[in-house]
Amino acid sequence: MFLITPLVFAKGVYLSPEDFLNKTFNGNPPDAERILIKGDIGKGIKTILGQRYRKIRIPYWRDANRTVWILERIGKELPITAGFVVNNNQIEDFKVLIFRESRGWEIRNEFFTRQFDGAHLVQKEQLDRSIDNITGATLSVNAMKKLSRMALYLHQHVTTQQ
Amino acid sequence: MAKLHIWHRYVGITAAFFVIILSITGLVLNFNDQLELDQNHIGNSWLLDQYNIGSFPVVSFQLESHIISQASDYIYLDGEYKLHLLGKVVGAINLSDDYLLATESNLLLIDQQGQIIEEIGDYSGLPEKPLGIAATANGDPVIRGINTYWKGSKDLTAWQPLQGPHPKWTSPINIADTLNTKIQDHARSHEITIERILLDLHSGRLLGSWGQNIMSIAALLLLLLAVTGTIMWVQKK
Repeated sequence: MFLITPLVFAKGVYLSPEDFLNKTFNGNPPDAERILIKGDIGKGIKTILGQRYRKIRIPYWRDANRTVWILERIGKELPITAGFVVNNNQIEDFKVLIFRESRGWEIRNEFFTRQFDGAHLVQKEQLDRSIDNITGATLSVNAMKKLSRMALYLHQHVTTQQ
Repeated sequence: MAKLHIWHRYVGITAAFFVIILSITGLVLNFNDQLELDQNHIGNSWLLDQYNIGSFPVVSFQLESHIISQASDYIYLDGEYKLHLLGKVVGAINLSDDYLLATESNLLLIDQQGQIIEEIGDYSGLPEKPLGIAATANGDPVIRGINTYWKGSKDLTAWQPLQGPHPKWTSPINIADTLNTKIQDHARSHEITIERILLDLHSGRLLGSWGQNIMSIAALLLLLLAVTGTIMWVQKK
C-alpha cells in the first residue's frame, strides 16, 4: 500500500490552468493576450529550449507588470504543463499544473517549486541561481528550468515592448 | 567434492544463456539516453503481437482538399504523420490557410505543415468543451456545446452564441483502404519503444509470467553458482 500510494497520485491535473489563473488574479483574470513565437523571439526561445517551442502563438495574461504564462514541455515522453507568474522580471509563483508522465512527478512538490521564487534572468538568459536536481526526475527538472527561463524571457519581451 | 563439481558445471552451462541475455540487455539499457532507446520504436509484427498491439480505429475528417485522420495519439494529413496529440478529435475544418481541429477538451489550430499554431482551451477563452465543429458560410468556426452553439471570431479570441441557421457539423468519413492501411502501419509501429522491449527481455516479461518465472529461476541459478563456486574454492584451499 505504501509503495503504491505515490504512484496513484503521480499523474494527473494538480491544478487546472483556469484555477491557476483565478487564484493568481483573485477570481478575475484579464482577457488573454497573445504573443507570436517567431523572428527574434523564436530564436531566443530556441536558444533557451534547445529546440523550437511546440506552438507558434502563446496566450498570456497581464496585469500591469505582472504576467502569467501557461507553458508546456516534454519531460521524457509527454508534455508537462506548468504555470508561471512573473512580476517585475522575477518569478513570483510557479506551479506544476498537469503531469502526464509516470516518472518525475516529484517536481510538483513545494520543496522543488519554491527554489524558483524570486528567480530572474542573468546573462545569456540563464537563471540567477542553480536549481537542485531531484534523483529520478532529471528530465522533468530540466524541462521546468527551461520553461522558467522561457517565461522570464517572454515577460521581458512583452513588458519592454511598449 | 566431485559431485558438487559436476553440479556446478551443469548449473553454469544452464545459467550461461541467461547471463548473456541479462548482461547484454543491462549493458545496452545503461546507455538508454545516449542510444535514444526511448525514442525509437519496434515495427516487428511478431513482437507487436506479443504486446497485443492490434489495429487502431482510424477516424478521418474531410477538409477542403485534404483528409485529416487520427489513429492512437497520432494525427495524419493525407496519410502523412504530422503530430502527436493527446485527446480524441471530434471534428476538423479549414480556417483560412490553416486547419482547426476540435478535440474533446480544446481546439487546436495547426498549419499546413502540421505545426501547432495555438491551442485554445477553456482558460484561453473557449466557452465550452467542443462536441463538434463546423464552419459558417463565411468560414467562421462554430463549436457545438451541450446546449449552445458558439460562433468564434477568425482569430479564435472571441466567442458568442450562434444566431441564425445551424451549420453542418463535420462528421467522420470513410477513407480508402490503402490510406487506412498506411495510417494503421504507422500507428502500430510507433507504440512500443526499444527501451520497453529491452526492459521486458531483461525481466522476462516479454514471455509473460512464464518468462518472469524463467528469469527468476535464472537468478536463483546464479546464486547457486556463487555458493557452489565458493564452497569448492574453500574446500580446495
